[in-house]
Amino acid sequence: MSAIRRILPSDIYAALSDNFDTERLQEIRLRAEKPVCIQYDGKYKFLSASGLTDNPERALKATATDIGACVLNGTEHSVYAYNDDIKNGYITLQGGVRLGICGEAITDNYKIVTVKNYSAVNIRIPHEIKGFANGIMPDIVANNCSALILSPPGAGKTTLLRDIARQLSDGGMNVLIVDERGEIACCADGVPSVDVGLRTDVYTGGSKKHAVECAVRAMRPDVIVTDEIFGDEDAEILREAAGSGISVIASAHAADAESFAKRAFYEKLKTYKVFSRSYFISSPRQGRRITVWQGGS
Amino acid sequence: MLDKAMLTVALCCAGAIAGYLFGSRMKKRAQYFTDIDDFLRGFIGSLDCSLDTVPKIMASHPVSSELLKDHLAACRSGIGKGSPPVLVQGYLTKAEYETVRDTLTGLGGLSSEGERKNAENKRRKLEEYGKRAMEKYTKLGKPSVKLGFLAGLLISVLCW
Repeated sequence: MSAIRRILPSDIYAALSDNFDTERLQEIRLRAEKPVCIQYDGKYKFLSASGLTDNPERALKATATDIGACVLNGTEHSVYAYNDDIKNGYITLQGGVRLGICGEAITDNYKIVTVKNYSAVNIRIPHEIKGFANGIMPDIVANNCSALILSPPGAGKTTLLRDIARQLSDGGMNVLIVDERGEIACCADGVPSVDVGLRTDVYTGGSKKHAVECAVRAMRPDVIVTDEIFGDEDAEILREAAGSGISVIASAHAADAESFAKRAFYEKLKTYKVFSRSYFISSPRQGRRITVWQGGS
Repeated sequence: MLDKAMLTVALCCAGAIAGYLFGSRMKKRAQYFTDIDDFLRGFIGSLDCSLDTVPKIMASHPVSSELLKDHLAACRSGIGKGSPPVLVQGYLTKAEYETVRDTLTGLGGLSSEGERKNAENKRRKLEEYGKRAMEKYTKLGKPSVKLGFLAGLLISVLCW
């Protein structure tokens, strides 16, 4: 919560800390001149000084200045140090809290130079649930530790990946977490702030391609764990890893398993045989369940 | 006779001490501007390689001026508090103080290129203040003990 305290305006932070259990808080959304919205227990509501409300008139409002201050504080008053992250639309804060950023992109020769006039931020709070993967661990191990986790946003892909990494690592495997956005291991100054296991190495910040290349050459992991794979480039990278004899466990966004199966990206993964098993986590709104999913069945 | 001699010694000592205090104040001012120039050069240099954050540079950059140490500590602890930090004016003039405050509290709000230009502009402005402070120290600060001593002697002669 210290990262949130550091970036949020004091009135909004006070309303949150006075009224809510942070373990059940998933998102805080600030939009310029609009009511503050939070996701609590999987449901979106407006935030008022005394708690949750459905009435936007009673809700606390964020100003453009609040949002600018949020980003500036999130970067430790060092926008230049986080500019690459800002250009990618997010900053990872201490404890793995992710600050998604919307604003006006400044371009030079069709390349984004920076973002200014921030209009909205989305603060996502990570959660550590030890034992979350217990139900599927025997199946993952039986399938050569090669698995694709699918789910809609906010269903718990990263939480599941983290627990799988921890259990495999504590079970004796060398695990490499390729943590592009710093959300799985939530490293602060190089040290994971969540339990990712005794034999886990974490590569934070760089691209998946570079991380996998380094891993194959130097780190010799048994399993690579990575999140939010997307597009042909990621499929090629994971193919290289799998081809080098490293098991891959990854996650991807999918509204449902069937729509994911129709994506060209999935066809490539299937052709390359990167994953032996796929799992689908249903949305918390529908009652969270993890189901084994194999080619549309 | 003994009274006059004692008065002379006392006035000479008082003049020398006053001169020393005046000189050390000027020396501190010159040192302050040398240090802030060095700090800003270090900050600009970090934009090319390490991209360390402002609080990290403020905490780790070696500084000998006590006033600048206080300023950097106040700026570092003020980050994320929602209001600009209050800096002690110390031996700086009002114009110098305002430039220093704007420089230190304004660091870090831009992308690398913007930050480099901004910090370099501010550094040049402060460099001018630093040159003036150093000239003044060389001209008046260094001989201030001797001048104070002589002033004390002159006053004591006038008192005889």
